[in-house]
Parts: sequence; C-alpha cells; structure tokens
Amino acid sequence: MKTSMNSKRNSKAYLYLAPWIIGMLVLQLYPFVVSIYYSLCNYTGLADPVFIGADNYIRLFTKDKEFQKSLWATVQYTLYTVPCKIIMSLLIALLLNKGRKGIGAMRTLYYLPSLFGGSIAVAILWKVMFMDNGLVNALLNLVGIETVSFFGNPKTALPTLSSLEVWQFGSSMVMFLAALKQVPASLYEAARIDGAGRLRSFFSVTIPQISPIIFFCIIMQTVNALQNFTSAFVITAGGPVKSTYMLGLKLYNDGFLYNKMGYASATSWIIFILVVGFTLVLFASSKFWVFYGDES
Amino acid sequence: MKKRQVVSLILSAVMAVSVLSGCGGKEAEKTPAADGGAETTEGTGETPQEPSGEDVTLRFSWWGGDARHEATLAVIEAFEKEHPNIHIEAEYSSYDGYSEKKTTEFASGTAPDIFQIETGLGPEYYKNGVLYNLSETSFDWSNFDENFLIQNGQFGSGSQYAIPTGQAGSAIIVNKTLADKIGIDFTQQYDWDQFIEWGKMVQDYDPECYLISANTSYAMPFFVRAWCRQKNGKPIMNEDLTLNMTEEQFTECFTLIKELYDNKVCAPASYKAPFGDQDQEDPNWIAGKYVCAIGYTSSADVLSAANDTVEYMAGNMPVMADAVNDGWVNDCPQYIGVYAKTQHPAEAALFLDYFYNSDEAAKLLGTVRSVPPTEKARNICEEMDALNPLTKQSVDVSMQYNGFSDSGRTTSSEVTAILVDAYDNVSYGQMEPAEAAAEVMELLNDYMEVNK
Repeated sequence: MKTSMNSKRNSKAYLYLAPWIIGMLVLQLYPFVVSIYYSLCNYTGLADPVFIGADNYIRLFTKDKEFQKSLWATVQYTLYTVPCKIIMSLLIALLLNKGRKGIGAMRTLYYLPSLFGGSIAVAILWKVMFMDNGLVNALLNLVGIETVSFFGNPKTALPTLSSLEVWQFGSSMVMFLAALKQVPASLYEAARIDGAGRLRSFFSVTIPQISPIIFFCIIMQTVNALQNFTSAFVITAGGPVKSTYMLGLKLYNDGFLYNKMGYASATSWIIFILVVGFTLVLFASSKFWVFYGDES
Repeated sequence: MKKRQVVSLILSAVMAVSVLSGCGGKEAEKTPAADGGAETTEGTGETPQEPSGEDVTLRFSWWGGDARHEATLAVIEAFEKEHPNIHIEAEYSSYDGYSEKKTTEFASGTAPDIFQIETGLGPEYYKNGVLYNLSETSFDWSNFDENFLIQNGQFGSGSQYAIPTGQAGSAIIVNKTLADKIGIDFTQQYDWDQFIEWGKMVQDYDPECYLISANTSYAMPFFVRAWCRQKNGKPIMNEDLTLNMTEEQFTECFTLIKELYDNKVCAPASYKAPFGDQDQEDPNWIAGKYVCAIGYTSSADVLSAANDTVEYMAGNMPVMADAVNDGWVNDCPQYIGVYAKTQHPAEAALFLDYFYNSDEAAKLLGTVRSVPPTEKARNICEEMDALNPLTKQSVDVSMQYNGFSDSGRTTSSEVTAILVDAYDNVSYGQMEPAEAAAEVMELLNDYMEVNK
C-alpha cells in the first residue's frame, strides 16, 4: 500500500517535472550532443552534413587568425569584467550591510540594473549614453575633458563594453550581502579584543568567512563573461577593427551569416572547453583561499 | 567537501552547455533544393501551375521601416479582397537579424512562402537552392525591362529566381549649398584622385568640415568593389572561385583609402563607427558639415530629410582615367522570392503578380522600396507626385553609367566581411595598405580553397 502511494507520488512529481525535463532534453541536451557531430562536419545548415573529422578544429587553431583575435578579446573581456564586478559588488554590499534609514530602498536601487541583465534595451541605452554626443561625453565636456569616442576607438571599446556588465552587479551584491549577514559578530568582537583594526578584520575575518560566496560568484561571472554575446552584438557588432569580436559573436556570424554551422559548432566546443578549463583552474586554486565552515 | 566540489563542477558545466545549444538544429530535409541548387524547379518543362481556388494561407516576410510595413500590409489587404480564398500572413521586422532568421528557417524547412531578399545574398540563396523558379509560374513579366531582369534576379541561370523590388544604385548625395560655397562641382566627370584635392579644399575652408561622410558598410563597396570593376572590368572574385584583383591592385586601392583618411577627406573612422550605416543620425551631417555622403539612391530621402535647411543634388560618380568599365551599376535595393519548398507556388506567383503589376499595388506601395522596377509603376508614382525628386535624380545619375553588377561570390557575406575588415584596418591606420592587401589575398585564397 505504502509502495503504491510512493509510486503514485513519484509519478506526480515526474509529471510536474516533465515540462522542464522535455525542454532540457530537446532544447539543451540534443543540441549539445548533436553539436559534437556537427563540429566534425562540413555543415551549412542547408544541406546534409559531410563528415570531415577534426578539420574544423585544425583550421580554427592553424588558419583562422580571426579566431585567435576573438579568443584574446574574450579573455580580455573576462579579465576586465570579473574582478571589477566582484570588487564593485562586494564594496556596495559592505556599504549596504549597515542598518541605515531607507537601506531597503537603496538595496533595491542597486539591484535594479541586474533585473535588465542581457537585455537589448539596456545595450542600446549604453550605446546611446557612450556615443560622441551622448550623456557621458556631455558630462566629460562639462568638466573640460574632450569628447572620447568610446565605441569608435579600438582601445576604449572593449573596456566600455565591459563596464555594462560590471554595472549589472546586483545579483553578486545580494549574495555578498547575505553572506556578510552570516558572519558571526563574535568573530569581529574577538578580533577587536586581539587588537585588529577595521581593515585587518575585513581581510582576516570577513574575506575568509565569505570566501565560498566569492568563489561561487567568480565562477558564475567567468562563465557569463566567456559567453558574452548580446552587448557585443547590439552595441559594436564586434568592431571597431574586431576589438570586441568575442567568441560568442564569431560563433553566431559563422553559423548564421556565413552558413558554416559545423565550424560554428567547433567554436562553441572551444568556448565550452574554455569555460570548463577556467572552472577547473579556479577549483584547483580554491583549496588555497576558500574556507568552508564545515571543514575541520 | 569533495562531493560538493564535484556537484558544483557539474553544475558549472551544465551552465556552460547552454552556449552550445544554439549550434544544434534539425537537419535540413534532403530535397533537390537543399543540395542541388538551381535544378529544383528549373527545366522541368511543365506548364505553369494554376491557382487551385482552394483556401490557401501564405506567409510573406520582409524587413523595412513603418512606411514600408503600412504600405505592404495595405497591398496584402487589397489582394485578399480580390482573392478571398488566399490569406497572407505578414511577418515583418527591421533588418536586424532578418537574414540570420532566414538561415535558420531554411535549415529547418520553415521559411515563409514569399520573402524579401537582400541583394547581395540573392546569388547565395540561388546557389543553395532555396528559391523557386518563378519563370515557371504564371507571373506576367511584360511590364519589366528584359535586360533589367537578366541583370537582377536570374543569377546567370536564364530563369527568374527573384524579382527586383525597385531601381537603385550607388549614389553621392551632395550638400549643394556647402559645395557651392567651397567651389566644388559634382556635375563634372572626375576621377578618384579628385576626392583628395577637393578634400583639401574643404579642410582649408573649415577644418571642422569634411568632403565625405563615409560609413564602412557603404564605403567598402564604393571604394573597393567599384574600384575593381573599373580597373579590371570584372568583379573581385569570379563565380568559378578565381580572383581578378591582384595583391598589387589591392595595395593601390587601399593606398587611395589611406590617403582619403590621412588627408581628412573622409571623417575619421573612429568618429563614424558608432553611427553604423545611419549617416543621417550623425550630428555633423545634420549640422551640414559634410559636402557629401556616399551610399545608395535609397538613402537620398532620409539624408535630405535629416537637414532640410540646405539644397541637395545627386553628384556624378568617380571614374578612373584608364577605366576598363565605368563600374557604376543600376541594380535593385532588394529582391522578393518564393521559397523552393512552398506548397503553393501558383498562389504565391498570383500574389506577386498583383504586388508588382497591379495599379492598386503601385499606388499603395509608392516608393517604399525605392523607385519602382516597372515603367508602369514609375508612371503611377510620378502622377501621384510620390517620387522624391532627389531619389529620382540619383537614380537618373546612376543610369548614366554602364557598369555591371558584381553580385555573386564578391557580394557573399564572407567575402564582404573580409573586405570590410580590410577597409577598417586601413581607415583606422591599423595596417599599411600593402599589409592589408597581403592579408586580404590570404583570406580570399583561403575562402576559395574551402569553397571549391
């Protein structure tokens, strides 16, 4: 009787889960698996794929100079974005971790940009703000600084694009805020008794206590940054002079503009390997700086 | 701890998987169209299919602005009134992502029955066999100029696979008020080097002014493809994947481009980049600080509307002294074609016949797709006073020339991207002309090798 009840409950659970499971199988797992095969084929998307072995991968690394530029742009973008976003969100979380009047409204305000994450509208807003006749240049001109061609200059385009991602620091901030609340006050008190100042307390108590969250945020942000597409596509289209032509955009152009779906699949696998590689390195480094409360 | 790490790692990997999702897709159904190219409907020798009279729903997709959307929807409505058994589902948007969407629709076999086609992509679509042979339908071609059809939409096949939507060509839209003040005469015939001399005159007149407003998307076809057509009388790349342009010629062409930017004939590339191909949004154009903008006849109305305080004219085009051919061509702004896998080719042709040949459609469409492609529709527009005089003048100027279309391999998306990158590298001063020429040769040779 009990087994039958359990089985019935399980069936119901699977029924509720079915939309997600079907979606995952059809929209994620199938493309994931089939892209391995396509990456080994000459496939235009219009005719049947023709198996060519590892040619796409060999071409990517030996002949495609654009791929090397894209890879470098993607790594640069990640290096600009992740540390800045983590530092920014941690600093704001520290500021908001105080019981002040109207703190709830402040937290909401700082979180707002993240609600628009990855949206086309925000990318367009950024483009307009940083144009030669945009708001940012108008403010710079007010204080006597000459107009900067943020998205027209290959040297400034990528950092400006990164600033959009950094601006959307809300989700990391909320996690840091939650982590900061969990740090026992007794630890700060003990540190104070031992003669530690605010800075020493921050580095010796706060950082180790919230290190698992820092670690989690770094991984999440790295994964996001390596897959950037929307802002590069909408704001700069990869320019100027390919300075913002990141791998996600190259993949899109190869697949949907040049009808090289097989080649684009190979690029997507390189991105995947890059993401896994970065993650593994971070995991390997974590034993030196991440402190888990349940560790002896 | 270990277990948690492993779980976290797996979760991270699952997140990363999402990036790969975009690259999969349903395999294209194998049809003669999918791998055989043009033979899909060509040469069957069958008599044109007649509409069945049954209830039919067709999908029609196009891109454009509000005026084009409203006019096209009005034509659809008028057609449906005349043919109550045929329902047209309209799918319209801006150009952003339009061609990419078509690629996925072709791959999944779900493309609309009728769709607008970007001119440069027409030959690629034809080669990939996604276009229906319209010569085998009952479409009435009698209102079109035969040579115009041969040049536009046949892709060398002898059959009509796409119908040009209008007449268009490269154009130089001149701020005549400023040009007259400086003493620049665009009505004379001149060569490419003249740009440099005029550019210097403009800088002497006012260092904040430039001779040319040039965005990369329009400037590359203007300064590279047209230059090659004049130099060699041939396109940069032939259909049989051979090159007509040599490395020395590329160097010569890129040297001209470098001089245009070094001498401030063109506005700096870094300044123009954020505006994309929307020259009319450039505050310097609105303020009347350019003598001219290079682009297409279809740009004439938006450019002139952006600053109506000055007088405009369509200038003559540059032709090199030893040109084999004047290189400037009057072609079309886009095509409309029918999907090779449509279930209702006869009904699609019936709609297109109404769209192109009926008086009602000509009145409703006006010039929303540039100057109409048939004389009949042009006359109707003139009677309605719907033709923008500047657009008409720019089309008239482009018709003075006897160039040929290089539409084909040279205009394919990948070759275009290679040439645009080279133009960018030279205009930004990132590469010397010889260096850019060597890189272009390497990339074009690689493209030819892969596609052979």
